[in-house]
Amino acid sequence: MYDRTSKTKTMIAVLVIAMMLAGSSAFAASRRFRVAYVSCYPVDSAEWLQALVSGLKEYAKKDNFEIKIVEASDSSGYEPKIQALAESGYYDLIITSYDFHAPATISVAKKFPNQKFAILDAGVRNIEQYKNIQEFKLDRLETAYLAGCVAGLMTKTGKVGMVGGADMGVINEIIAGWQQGLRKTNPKVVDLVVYANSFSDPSKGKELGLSLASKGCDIIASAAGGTGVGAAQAAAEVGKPFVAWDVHYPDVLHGLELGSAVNYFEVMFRHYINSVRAGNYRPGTVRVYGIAERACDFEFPVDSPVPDSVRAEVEKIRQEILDGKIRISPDLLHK
Amino acid sequence: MNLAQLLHVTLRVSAPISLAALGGLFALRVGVFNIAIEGFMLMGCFAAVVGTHFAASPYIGIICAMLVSMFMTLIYAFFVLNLNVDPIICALASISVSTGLTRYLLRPIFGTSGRFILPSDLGLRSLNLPLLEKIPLVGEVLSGHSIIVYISWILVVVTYVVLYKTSFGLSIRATGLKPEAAASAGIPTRRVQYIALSINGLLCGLAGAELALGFTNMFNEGMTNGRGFTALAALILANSEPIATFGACLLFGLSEAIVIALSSEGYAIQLLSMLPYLLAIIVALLPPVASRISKLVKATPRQS
Repeated sequence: MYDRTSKTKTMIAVLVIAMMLAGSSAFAASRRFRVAYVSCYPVDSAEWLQALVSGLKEYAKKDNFEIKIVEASDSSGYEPKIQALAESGYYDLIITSYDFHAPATISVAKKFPNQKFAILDAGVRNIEQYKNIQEFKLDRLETAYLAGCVAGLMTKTGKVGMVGGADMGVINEIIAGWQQGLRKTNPKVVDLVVYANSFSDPSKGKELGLSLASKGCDIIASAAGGTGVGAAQAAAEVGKPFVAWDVHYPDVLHGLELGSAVNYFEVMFRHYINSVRAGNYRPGTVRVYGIAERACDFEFPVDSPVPDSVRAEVEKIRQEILDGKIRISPDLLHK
Repeated sequence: MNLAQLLHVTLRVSAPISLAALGGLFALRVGVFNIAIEGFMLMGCFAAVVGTHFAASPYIGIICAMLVSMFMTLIYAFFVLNLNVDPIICALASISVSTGLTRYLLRPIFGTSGRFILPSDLGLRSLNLPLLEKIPLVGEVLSGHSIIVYISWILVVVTYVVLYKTSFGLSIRATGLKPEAAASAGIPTRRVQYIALSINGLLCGLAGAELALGFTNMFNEGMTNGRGFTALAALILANSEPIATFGACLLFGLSEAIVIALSSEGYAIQLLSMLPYLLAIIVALLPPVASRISKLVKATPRQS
């Protein structure tokens, strides 16, 4: 009796040790790649961010990596939150967002030279001097260029208008692409640019849209978030075609939407995470994802009034972009 | 854009501002400097869209906006008047609550984030005034606004009459000037303050409804975009006199309309955005400068 219990005890001990060994070896063999993404906006504040987060979670399952989403939307929380992630030493890659996080990321990256950092579209100055920060971003020029090509072919009066959210880098890049695209298909085009100075003021967007229409623009475009919805409503009110950014507006425009330059952040993130995982981490550089990676595209909605002949021409230009035959400058032609 | 269009836009963009300013006027006249009108307006926008969506009628939406905004103002009033919380602190809290709550509620109510767009046939229609419409310039400027714009003009006169021609208005002014004296004269000051703040809420709700239904028929988070603060600026500029406040709102509206008209002409947006504030400073400086000059002129001995 006495003997048997001690035997059982030994057996249990051996079993436990064996299990621990097996567990740890299995753990070491398939340790998943761990990524933390620090968002500078609350996740529910924008549609693209929600799409990004849900897409990332899905891809994490499919591609077998671990993703942790952290919100650091308050400037006092930028550095402590990024630092806490780096201090944990748990993550293989920490991704932060936009110029909001740039100073905090730079200062934390200095303290943790062995931690890999990446930053989304921050325009970090002299990025080449940082040994553990890589920047990656969407190519907004290509889709804007295609949008311009479509509008250039579709305009009858030869005058088109663009409502931009604000006079800032990202929007001006879009407008630069748009202006060059317009001139590719319609060299004599006149294009007007207005800035709303707000991404959440549909009323202002509608006033600006109406004023563009009253100045003779027969196509209105807008890259301005919520302000852009107002511009779309203006286009619907005066019955002019509209070029959208980021989303489609079927219920507002009822067949007046020519197309939309849409972005797939989750696809870009997937590409980037997998490239780092494959050992292609290139600190001090900027990686750009465009239509070749399907991270963005110019899409025609189902009820788009764009005829097949125009679509064919645009497809040809799209192919030229993919083949690298067209160089698009990020500089505005005019404001 | 010609002159008629410019003035038409002026009237349209100044309507929500002047409604919010009239609301703020009632609060200010009973001694509460209510910077929360920005937040109450936003609640009004949201409630207007919710009401319109579920009742399929913009008029129900307007009533919803006014009631919800009034409810918010009453909570604000309770904190400020009964619990003696600092009005500015309480206003900042109200603005945060309005911003956060409207964004949060979009999800459970509409299942969207950031914005909700109503079907275009549910917006307020613009009214064409039957006779005025025919007059060349005047018709083009005055006709074709939403019903709330016309109501806002009537309310300016109503506010003036209530404030200066009724005993209730006298109570309001007395409460604001010297509450102790008003109380000793038998005016129920607390009740007057509550009523005035309720009116503030109703007017802010109406301002929100105009912003959400009058022109765009949608809700977007943060869509008031500082209009409440502009209204306060107009209120202070005009020394909280109803007619002058309306004038100041028109001035802000005009500068906004000029900005819209000039936007596509290639001027720097940063300079254009300064215009409303530049105008406000000039208007604020004019009376003291004018009086100083007239004094100087009088003081100089004349030689004949």
